[in-house]
Formats: sequence, C-alpha cells, structure tokens
Amino acid sequence: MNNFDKPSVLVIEDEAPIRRFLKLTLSDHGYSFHEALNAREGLSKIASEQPSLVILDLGLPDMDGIELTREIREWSKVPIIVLSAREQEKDKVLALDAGADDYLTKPFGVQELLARARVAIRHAAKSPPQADSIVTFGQVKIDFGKRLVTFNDTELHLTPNEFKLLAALVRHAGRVITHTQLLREIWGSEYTDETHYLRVYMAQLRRKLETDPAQPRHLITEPGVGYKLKLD
Amino acid sequence: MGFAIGFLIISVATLLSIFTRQYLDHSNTIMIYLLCIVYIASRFGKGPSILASILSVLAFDFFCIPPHYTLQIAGTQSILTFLIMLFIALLITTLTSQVQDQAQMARMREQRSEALHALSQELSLTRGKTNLLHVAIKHIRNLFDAKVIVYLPDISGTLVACSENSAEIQNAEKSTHANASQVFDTKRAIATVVSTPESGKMTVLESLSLDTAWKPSLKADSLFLPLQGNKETFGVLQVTMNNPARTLTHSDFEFIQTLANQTALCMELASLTEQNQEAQLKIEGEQLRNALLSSVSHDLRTPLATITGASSSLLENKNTLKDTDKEELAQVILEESEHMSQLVRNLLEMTKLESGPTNIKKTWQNVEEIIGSALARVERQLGDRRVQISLDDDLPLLAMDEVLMQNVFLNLLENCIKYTPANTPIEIDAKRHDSQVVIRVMDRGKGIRKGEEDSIFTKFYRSQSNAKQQGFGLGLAICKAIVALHGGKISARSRDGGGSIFSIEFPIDRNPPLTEMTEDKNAPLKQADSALPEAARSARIENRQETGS
Repeated sequence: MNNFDKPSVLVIEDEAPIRRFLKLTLSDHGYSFHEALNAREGLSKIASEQPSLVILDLGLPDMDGIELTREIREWSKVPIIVLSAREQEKDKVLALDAGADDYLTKPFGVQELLARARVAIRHAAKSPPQADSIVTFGQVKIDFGKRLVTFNDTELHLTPNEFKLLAALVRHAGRVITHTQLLREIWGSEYTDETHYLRVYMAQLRRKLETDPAQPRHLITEPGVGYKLKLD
Repeated sequence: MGFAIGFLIISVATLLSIFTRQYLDHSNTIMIYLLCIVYIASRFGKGPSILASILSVLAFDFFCIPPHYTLQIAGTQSILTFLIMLFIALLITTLTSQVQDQAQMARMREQRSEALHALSQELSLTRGKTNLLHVAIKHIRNLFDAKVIVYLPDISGTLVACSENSAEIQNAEKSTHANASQVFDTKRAIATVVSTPESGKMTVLESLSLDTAWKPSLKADSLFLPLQGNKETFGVLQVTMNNPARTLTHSDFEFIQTLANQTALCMELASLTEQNQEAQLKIEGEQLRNALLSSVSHDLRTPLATITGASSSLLENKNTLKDTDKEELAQVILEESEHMSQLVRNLLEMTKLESGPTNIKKTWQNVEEIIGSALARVERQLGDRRVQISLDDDLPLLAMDEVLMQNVFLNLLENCIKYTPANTPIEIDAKRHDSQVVIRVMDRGKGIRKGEEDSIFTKFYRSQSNAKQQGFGLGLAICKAIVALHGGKISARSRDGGGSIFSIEFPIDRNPPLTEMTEDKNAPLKQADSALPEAARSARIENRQETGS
C-alpha cells in the first residue's frame, strides 16, 4: 500500500491461464503485477510486497481460500477480492464474512475485474463517508449531515430502519455486503438469521429510490450472498 | 385334576343315590349318574369321563342293587342293566369329547386363518425382501411363542443365520446349521426331537408334503422349513419352541408351512418387482446417457470450434485483418464462450438437483427481487427487448431458495430470448390466488407446439420446431425440478394472439413472519438522531403510520 502512483496487485491463483490473463490485463491498465501459486507463497508475498490489492482464488491447492482470508485479516488490512465459481454462493458469503472485500464470479470480464479492483483500492485508501458528507446516485441525493434523502429534488421520508439500511449500503458502496453483515449492523447480532427483514426493507427502499423497483439500477441483489449499492 | 373332580362328583351322586334308594326307581338313579357323566365329559374330556363311567357302574352295583354292599349280581336283568349303563356312559363320553374336539379345532382353525390373514395383510404392505422376512419372523414368533431363525444364502451361496435377536443366532448350534443346509438343498422340511433319551436324536421326515409322513406320535421340538416360492428357494425357516414342555404337532407344522409359503411368495413377488425396476432404470439411464453424450458432443463442440477458429484467425491474420473484423472475431469468441459457460452451468445445476434436495435452502424471498436479479443477469442478452413487469402489490414473501429460484427465471428468460425474435416483448406478471402465487413469463414467439406442453420440460428434449438451436435442452427440466422442490408446479401453453405462457404456481404454505415489530417506535433512535431533526422527525411520523397499518 506504499506505492500510490502505481498500485500493485498480488494474484494468488494456481491456474496458469487465469494468472496469465490477469497479468496481461492488470499490467496493461497500470497495475504492477505480482503472483503466487499457493497460499504459503501468497502469505509471504503479502508481507514482502505490501500489495495494494490481493486477488485470491478460493480453490487453492494447499489451503482453503476462506481460511487464508481469515489468516491475512489477522495482521493485514489489504483489500481482498476472491475469485469463485457461480455455484459457490456459500463460499462467497463465508469469504466476505471472513473479511474479504469483494468477489468475482468466474467467468468474468475485464470491465468487471477493473471496476472491482478500483472500488476495492479506493475503499482501502479512503475512510468511510463522513457524517456530513453528501452521496448521490441516479436521481437520489443523500445528505448525511441533515439526514435528508431526496429523489429528483423531492424530499423522501425514510423510516429509521430504511435510513440505516441505506447508510450501511452507502458505507460499502460498490461492494457486496452479506445479509449477516447488514442484519448485524442494523438490527444487532441476534437478528442475523432474520433475512426477511432485509427483503421487506429493501423492497420499501427500492419503491422509494428506484425508477423501476423490479429492475433496480442501484440497489442490487446478489442472490444467495447479499446486497450491493451501485453508485454509477 | 379332572380325574379327582370326576371322582368327587360320582361320590356325591352315590351318596345321593344311597339316601334316595328307598324312594327312587333304579332307572332314575341311573339317570343321575348319566347326568354326572355328561357333565364330566363336557368339562374334563375323555379320560375322567371313562373313569367316571366305570366308577358309577361299580358304585351303582355296590350301593343300590340288592344285596347292598356287595358286587354280587342277582339275575340276568341286572347284568343287562349294568352293560347298557356302561355302554351309554361310554357313548356319551365319546360323543361329548368329539363335539369338544371339533369345537376346539374350529376355534384353532379360525385363529390360524386370522393369523394368516394378518400376516398376508402386513406382508402386502411391506416392501423389500428383508422387511418381508422381518414381518414373517415377528408373526410366527408371537403365534407360537417360539424363537425363529432364518437362514439366507450369502453371495457365495453359504447359508447365514439371521434373526432380530443376535443371542438366538449365537445359540444356533452347528447341527442346526447342517439341518438348515439340508433343507435348503433338498427343499424338504425336517423336524427334530431333542427330548428323546439320546438327546439330539433327529427324526428326518422324508416328504412332509404327504400327510402320512408325519407319524401321529411325533412331537417335534424344532422345525426346519424351506422358504419356497414358485421358482426360487429363498432360505430356510427354523422354528423352535421357547418352552421345552411344548412341542409342535402336525397341524402346527402345516400351519407354519402355510405361513412360510405365503412369505416366500411375497418375497418372490418383491424380487420380481425389484428386477423389473432395475431393468427399467438401466434402460432409462442408458437412454439418458446417450442423450447427454450426443448433446455434449454437439453442443460443446460447436462453440469450441467457433472459438478456436476465431482466435486462430486473430493470431494468424493480425496484419491483414481490418480493426472492425478483429473486433467482430473477438465478439464471436466472447459470445460463444458465454454460451458454453451457460451450458456448463446448466449441466452442473442438473447434476446438483439430481443428487437430492439436500442443497435447497429456503428463506423468505421477495418475488420482485428474484425476478429483478434474474433480469440483471440477462440484461446484455435482452438488448432492446422490452420487458414489462406487473406484480400484485399484496404479494407475500415466499419461502424459497434464492439462488435456485433465480435460476428458474434466468432459464425461462434465456429460453424466451433464444426462441423468440429480437424485437418481441417479454412480459412477467405475478398474482396472488388464495393459497398460491402464480408467476407467469410470457413471450410473443412461435408458441408451444401442440402436444409438446409437457415434453418440453423433459431432460434433453428439444422441440421439433427448434431442432437447429444449440443447447442441451436442460433449461426447462431444471426449472421443473427446482419448482417441484418447492412444492410448486410449472406449465407451459400457447398464448392467445401468438407466443407462449410459462406459468409457475407457487404454494403459500406458511404465513410469512411479521416485520412490524422490528421498528419499535418507542426505542430511541441511535447515533446522532437528535442532531438531525428534520429527517428523523419525518421518519418517526411515518414510522407510526407504518406500525398502525
């Protein structure tokens, strides 16, 4: 994280073709590239190279990716993006709850990869939105200082829980928050199984903030994992 | 016991006749004795009755016929009287005990036919050979108060003793095992007697299918019977009385044989059914594997060929290709690999679904949200297609697996995109009907061919009208499997005015949990609420309205 001019990425992945593709793409887009073929090598390179971002494959030969995430989080705050297959929703949730910042589902495109990398690095560099900051997306403007939400310059009335949910999504904007994380932040840790709260409040929020709640542009559902606020 | 009471009754009758001999005729006194004999015969059976008959003749002579207190008989008339009296007494005895025996036989027959009926009934409700045997063992054990062991051949053909009670097997000696083997080989029953002086002596009955083979005197301790079906011998049944004082008679043997035959026939039937099912499954498996192989080889090869061609062309002709051509080739590669990815996803999904419902995780879901996330995944493929969504406002949360149900809509949408012209709209609606929610995905394509409404949901099925389309024909089969896992129903039909309607009926089996309680209007708002008067106040006011509704 010491090199802000040219952010460095460490890719921990045992599959050579994916490493090659990532190396080409990331180098081409101004990242300095490091690679590790297994968890052990990955751990030592995080310590030695101090990368600005770690891209971690969940299926490593020598260690479970979720376990590795936990281990990294014990001593490093480096943003971690995990790579997983579509069918591994449970693993994605586990990785996110273990401290990963985001995930990419294989197969993924270049645009998606770069967007996630940017968001993850930006988040690590920036502190969360200040209490008085103003956030906008679509026709929505949120003034945290005044606790005011407007849609097309018309003031919206949000219930306290709707507002808390929106604030949590804004804090993690661009990244997925798991159901468990959201429930814990808003209702407390004893409510982490009550995902229906989220269903109800997300539906209400979409009614208020989305032009077409059935085809949301910003309040995105990640099935089986959680929610994401897309700012752009 | 019977003898003693018989003696007593005759003594009382004799006393009576001594006191009444001055007043009563001899013939009347005889009647008293005969009455007593009838009673004794009907109560205590043949033995006591014969004793009573002889006793009463002697007593009558001794006490009632002058000269009293001697057995001397005066005159031939008295001899005739005695003989007739004895004859009648014995006749009564025989007839009465015969009636009794018949009644007892009838009772036993009734009990046995009831027992047989009970066994047949339970067998008919039981599936699987092992379970059938367990039922038979249980019934025979309870009927005879006997221990029951079944010997079954293992893979190598060696007989192995099986019983619910392992102690019974351990007690089974080598000799009994030899008996069982012999019965299994010859298919003829054996009865053993262990109570004879040289204990363990065996009486081998040559052919018990013939009644004469069972000597009437034989009281067996153990019976070995073959479990004989029409074609197959399944094993050997050993029945041994728990109480050594009780033995098995010929009628017991016949009854047990009936029970054993009944069991064996049921086992034969079960084994035939099993064989049929296995054969059926094998055929189906074969057909599926063939369909899968031809699908995989065709449908994965086509995109692979395209990708290989396009990428090698990009590499080899990089100097001659125009930029627009390069872009088009790259586009082709991207599209084909996405297509392959979709095929592989469906294959995996089907495999996962077929491995059982263990992977399903139902939570409360919002239909709108699930449709929305499926739409987001096909956004690029949708292109300029219009998607109209109309969902009832009062849709309840439904208990479903988020990821699986998203796949249902994903597959339905991909299906619409694949089989309908690019400029036609897709409509989605959802309505609540009493105890179910009906969600429909509708297009304006060619519709469903008549007669294919059900078959399009079959694995690897491809409509005759779309034979050229790529794909495994798994999408709709996956939809059907997932919806079925949720207790719902999916169907397809042609639509008025052209196109098709896919409709999912989803049961509302439980009431969704309430969420009102989560916003407690009395709880102080956390964080810097007091510093944010306006929004917080409006939030509070609205909150009250919400909880009130």
